[in-house]
Amino acid sequence: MSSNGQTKRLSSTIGFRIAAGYSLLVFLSFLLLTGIAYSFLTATLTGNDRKQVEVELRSLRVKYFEGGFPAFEKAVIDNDRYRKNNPFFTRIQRPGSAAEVYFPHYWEEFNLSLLESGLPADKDGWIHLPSGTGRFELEILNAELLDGFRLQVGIGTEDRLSVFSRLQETLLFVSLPLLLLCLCGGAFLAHRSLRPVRQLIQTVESIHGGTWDARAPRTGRGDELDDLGRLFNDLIEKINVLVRGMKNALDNVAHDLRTPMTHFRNQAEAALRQNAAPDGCRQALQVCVEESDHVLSMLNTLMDISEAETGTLYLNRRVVDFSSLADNVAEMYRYVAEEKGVVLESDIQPAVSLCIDAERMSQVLANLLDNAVKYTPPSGNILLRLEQNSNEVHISVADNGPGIDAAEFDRIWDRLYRGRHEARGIGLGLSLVKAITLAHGGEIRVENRPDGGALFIMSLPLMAES
Amino acid sequence: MRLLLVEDDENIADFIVKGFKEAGFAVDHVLTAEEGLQCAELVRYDVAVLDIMLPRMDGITLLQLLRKRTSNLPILILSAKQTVDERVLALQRGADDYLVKPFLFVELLARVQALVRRASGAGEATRYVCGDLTLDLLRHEVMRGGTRIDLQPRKFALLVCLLRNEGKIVSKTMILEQIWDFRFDPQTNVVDVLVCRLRNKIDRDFPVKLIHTLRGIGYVIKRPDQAT
Repeated sequence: MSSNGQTKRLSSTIGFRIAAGYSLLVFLSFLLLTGIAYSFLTATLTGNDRKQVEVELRSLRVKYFEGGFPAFEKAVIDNDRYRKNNPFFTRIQRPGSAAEVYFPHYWEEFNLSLLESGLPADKDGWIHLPSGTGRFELEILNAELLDGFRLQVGIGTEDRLSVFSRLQETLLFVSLPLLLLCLCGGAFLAHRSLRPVRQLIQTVESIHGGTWDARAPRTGRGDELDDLGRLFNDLIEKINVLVRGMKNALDNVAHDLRTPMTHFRNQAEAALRQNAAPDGCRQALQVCVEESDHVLSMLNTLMDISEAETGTLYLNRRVVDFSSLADNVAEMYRYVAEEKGVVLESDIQPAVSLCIDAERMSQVLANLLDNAVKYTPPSGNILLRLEQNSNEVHISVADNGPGIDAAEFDRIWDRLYRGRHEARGIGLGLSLVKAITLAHGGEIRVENRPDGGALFIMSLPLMAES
Repeated sequence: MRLLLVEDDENIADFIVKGFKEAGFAVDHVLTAEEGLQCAELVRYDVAVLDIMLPRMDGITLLQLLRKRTSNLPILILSAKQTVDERVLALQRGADDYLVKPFLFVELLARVQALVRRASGAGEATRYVCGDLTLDLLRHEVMRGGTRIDLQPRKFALLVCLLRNEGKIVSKTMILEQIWDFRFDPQTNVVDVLVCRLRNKIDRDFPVKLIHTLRGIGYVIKRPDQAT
């Protein structure tokens, strides 16, 4: 995996961390379990050996009490005779004579003379006599008999220890392959489960590199990573649409700015070339002012729309007489309509009060009427209607122009979208209408009237949202 | 007339200072709000024009401080188009008027003159005369060359607006604001239409034309011998 052309350290990848963590966990659990089993086994084996010693000691003692020394000795010798491998070390000390070890040839590995000096016993009463090599030992238990007799019975730990060491060897032998197996398993699992993430990274990198139609492959398993892939793809699609929209809008703005700016420049240049003629210069300057006003008003409208759309538009709301506001706008557009031979009628319910930004709402009505006047042919008519019902105010503008093509219904609200019939304007009016209406918590839609022409219907809630 | 201009953009300031000097104002121009405050303490101004976007202390703060000291100084705020509507804020904080950049100088001049006129307490004239045209506000009557002309309310209001600024240019924006109370650009030629109709009434049948169009700027009503 690489990023910015720099190879990441293996240890910093999630895959490595998951694999390492997984194998460490499995391996540690293995060690813990075998450790517990091992210590349990050693405790059991040791316990068994000691129990045997205790049993032997007890039976020899009983023999001694029942039949005196001869019975005791007979039992020791019989034991050796009848048992195939007599495991027991037996030593007896009689008062006034040297200690006696039975079958000392069995115990040649041990320096038995050490017992004479009296080795200390541990807290359970066991004396530990190490072998000459020190690899194992003799565990001895004492018993005081009558008349100063002292009996010692022991057992060698060699057999037990050899079992232990075999076990240790086996465990060690198993653990190495197990560790490898854990590592491989962990790596495999991590690799497999992180595959969607790697694919997502690849997709992001190719998008970063400019391939905008790259999409993360889906596993279809419906798990979290699949969800992530789906969400990512949706997001990219949405961004794509926005970017394309912005690009189109920018192209349109550039085009719309170019026209007045070219005119502006041509006029200025022509005036400069003329050299004299103050009247010509004056005229050129007038055109320049007009064109720059045009550009400015377009920029202002664009900013208004983007403010309204991003929700940063400041609405200076107060309660106003919406009816007289509508009357005022209608009266103003009546002049423009008459000039074109269009009749603008209004049917306005009086005294409708609303808490709105009066200036912005006037602009909305103005844009709607402007639009209607623009599309209505001479001798047509326009009707502005305002009525209030229980919880809404409806404003409608009907014209008898050419109406709206079915294909254009959604697009007329788009920024800089210009209908096929549009004669002038910059295609921002209706997007501003929509943006301001939505900012007021209202709705607006358009339909074609059955008898021809377009009908814009706007609804504003009576109760202003705070 | 003494005018205080607080504006940090040298280009705009030059343009404004030059314009006001031509119109007979004495202009003190400073770059920052702090300097503006000092000047206002030393000199008695007839009117102040403040930019909102200033380094350190902004125009709104300066406006509030000035209001505290000199409650009757007419103040006009210049604002750029901003995301938050500063214009409303400015009016709430005590500005007498505002103008959004970029603006026509004639409009700034007209607004400043209106502020001065209002502050000096000169009562509104009730009768205007321009050449052979007379308008009587009290009798709501317009006469030209002895003929009475009937005007619709909007046309009458437009004529009053022009006459009140006789010899001075009135921009389309001012007409929209004063006749319809619209402080936005309706992107329409309604002003041209209304002016055209007013002309039909008061100029068409007379050899001497009083209303003149200045393309790209606005309209002016003046006597034939009068300069703009």
